[in-house]
Amino acid sequence: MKKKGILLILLVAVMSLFASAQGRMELRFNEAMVQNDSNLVDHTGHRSAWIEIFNRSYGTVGMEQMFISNQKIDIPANGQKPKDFLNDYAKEHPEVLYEIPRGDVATKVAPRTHIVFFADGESSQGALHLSFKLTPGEENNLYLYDVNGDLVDAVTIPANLPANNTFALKSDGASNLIDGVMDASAWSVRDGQDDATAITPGKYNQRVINENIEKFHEKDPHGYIISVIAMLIVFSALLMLSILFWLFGKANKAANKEVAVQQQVEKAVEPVQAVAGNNDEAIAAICMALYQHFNAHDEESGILTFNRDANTAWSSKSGMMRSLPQKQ
Amino acid sequence: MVLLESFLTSNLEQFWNFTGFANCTWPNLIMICFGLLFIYLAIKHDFEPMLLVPIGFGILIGNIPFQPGNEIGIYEEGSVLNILYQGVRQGWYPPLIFLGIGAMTDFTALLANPKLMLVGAAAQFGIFGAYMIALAIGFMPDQAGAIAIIGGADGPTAIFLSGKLAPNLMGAIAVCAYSYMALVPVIQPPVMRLLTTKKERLIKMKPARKVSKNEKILFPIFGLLLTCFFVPSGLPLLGMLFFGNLLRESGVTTRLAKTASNAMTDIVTIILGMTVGASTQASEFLTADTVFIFFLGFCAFVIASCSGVLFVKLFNLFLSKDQKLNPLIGNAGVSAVPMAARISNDVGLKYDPSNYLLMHAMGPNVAGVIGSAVAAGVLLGFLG
Repeated sequence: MKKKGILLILLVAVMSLFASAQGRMELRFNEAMVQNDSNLVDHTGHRSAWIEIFNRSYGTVGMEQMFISNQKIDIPANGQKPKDFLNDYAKEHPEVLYEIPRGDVATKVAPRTHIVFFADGESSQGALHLSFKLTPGEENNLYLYDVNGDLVDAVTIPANLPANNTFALKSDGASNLIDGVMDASAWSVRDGQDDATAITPGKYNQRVINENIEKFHEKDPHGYIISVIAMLIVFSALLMLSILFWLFGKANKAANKEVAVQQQVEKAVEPVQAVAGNNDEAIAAICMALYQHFNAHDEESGILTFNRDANTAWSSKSGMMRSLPQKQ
Repeated sequence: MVLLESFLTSNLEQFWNFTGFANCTWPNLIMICFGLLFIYLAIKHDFEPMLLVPIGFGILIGNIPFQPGNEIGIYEEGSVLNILYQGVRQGWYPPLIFLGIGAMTDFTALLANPKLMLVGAAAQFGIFGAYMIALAIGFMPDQAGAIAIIGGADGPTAIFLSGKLAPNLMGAIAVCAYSYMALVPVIQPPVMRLLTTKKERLIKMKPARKVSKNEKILFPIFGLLLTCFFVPSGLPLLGMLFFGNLLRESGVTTRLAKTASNAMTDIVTIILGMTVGASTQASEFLTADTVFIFFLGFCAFVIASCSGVLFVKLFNLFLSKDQKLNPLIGNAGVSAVPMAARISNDVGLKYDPSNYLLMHAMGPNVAGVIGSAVAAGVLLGFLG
């Protein structure tokens, strides 16, 4: 019992770890600005390159001890744990790899929200300041590694990205690596000239609309389609339930009947057994004789029913009643 | 002396500005009158007192005028009322109420005659009829869906769905749903009489068969699996409803079933009613939308009652003479347990004092609870 309990706790712990890792794998680079002259200002009043990451999962994700890098890190297969290797690498090469420190609540990303890191090489300013910078006029690569060294996401920002423009996902979080390489078609350059190309650090790249509502408003303005479909679904669900329990009811009735018949047979056979013992042939012969003599079946052919009149002179009320004297 | 006088004056002035008298507006007073009316109806006329007393008192609480910024109001983050209100906003309370409903509902009448489930399904047309009217009036589909669910005649379902689809209308929708549920004895009988002939009202239904314990245990399990595979978005309500019912029927969790159906439901009902009432602040409640919501709620109730009764009449065309259903049980398809079933019984007894329809009407009545939760799940799936 104790062992089972420990196993169960371990299982739950492993599953929760897995769930947490699942959440971190749902983080995506979402928008980045390399040369920031007139855009976002950090808490010290300075402008610098910034990188926005989107948590596309429906749970809060803690980013502590994850790694952000400006070049791909090849983790050697020398038996050293990837996490330890990256840890050491981040200490030795802060200009390349940044480990997000522990203990800062700012690095927890709420479901479906964004986090913005400043790539200013000033990691002493706080957990949201990377230890490396982005270089204007050059291709900038960004890699996000999980705590255990798994590659979560990567993006290559083009060299020709103008100042104060961003390289952003067209739709928030809508990109996946294909064989470890970014899907370039999901990205676009945004210059902030209009709503469609607005620069949106910490906010959604596209205007959030409930597509379902817009769709129904446009395609089904009177509500006929949704009403018919919904009624069909309600009817189908309850009809299935109704049929299922009608069948259960039938089966239950049949089972009850079978039990009742069995009990009846056992009851009827008892007095016959008293005469014939356990000799099956004798029992069958007596039953057949009785059947023929009385033609005594009621509902089911082949099953004998002995209806004994329980009333005797001792118990019957009518038998004990005296007749009133007849009037002459 | 002068200093003391000015000190006192400024403090009294500050205190006066802090009081409800200084901050009172006409809409506040109108809402307070509404709250008093609800309390009066509940206490004097016994209209759904368990709900209208907490809601009515909640309206008083929510409409006491005060200076904002002191973490007092229900919409001020961090206030006690706001913390309690999160259960409504986030949809925690309705599923808990459904757990209690499941634990106190006996589905025997439905299991004895499973075809009555279809009556519960038919009555849900009230929801979609009201949805179409709401769209015609000019509501957006999500708002129309939230308002239309009033036709399900199920308070927790209405709060759950409106909290998800149209939180700004939730107060008005909840008050409307509970008000019309209290008015079921007024709304339904004329509709039932209008749509049935005297001969139909006299139909005597076959006594219900005996339902085994196994069937009662299997119902919540298969009910959950079947309905939630169809409509996963109804899981919070249906899951809790069937879970509560399993606690009741399993026979081995009587203590849990008792707690769920008594103490827990009472606690949640108190908090839910009070916070929903308090959320009906004048600025949110006294709008043209509220008038439309009450109109649409009425339409939804009438359509739901009509469709239930008419469906039974239609169904009778396909049933043998000894299997025929009394159309007076059709209105009970609109949830509102057990009020709607009692109406069926009362109207039936008026025409034949020996025709007790209560147990027959309980079938569609409890099917209506399932049906309205499924309908809410469908609307949430489409519009959420």
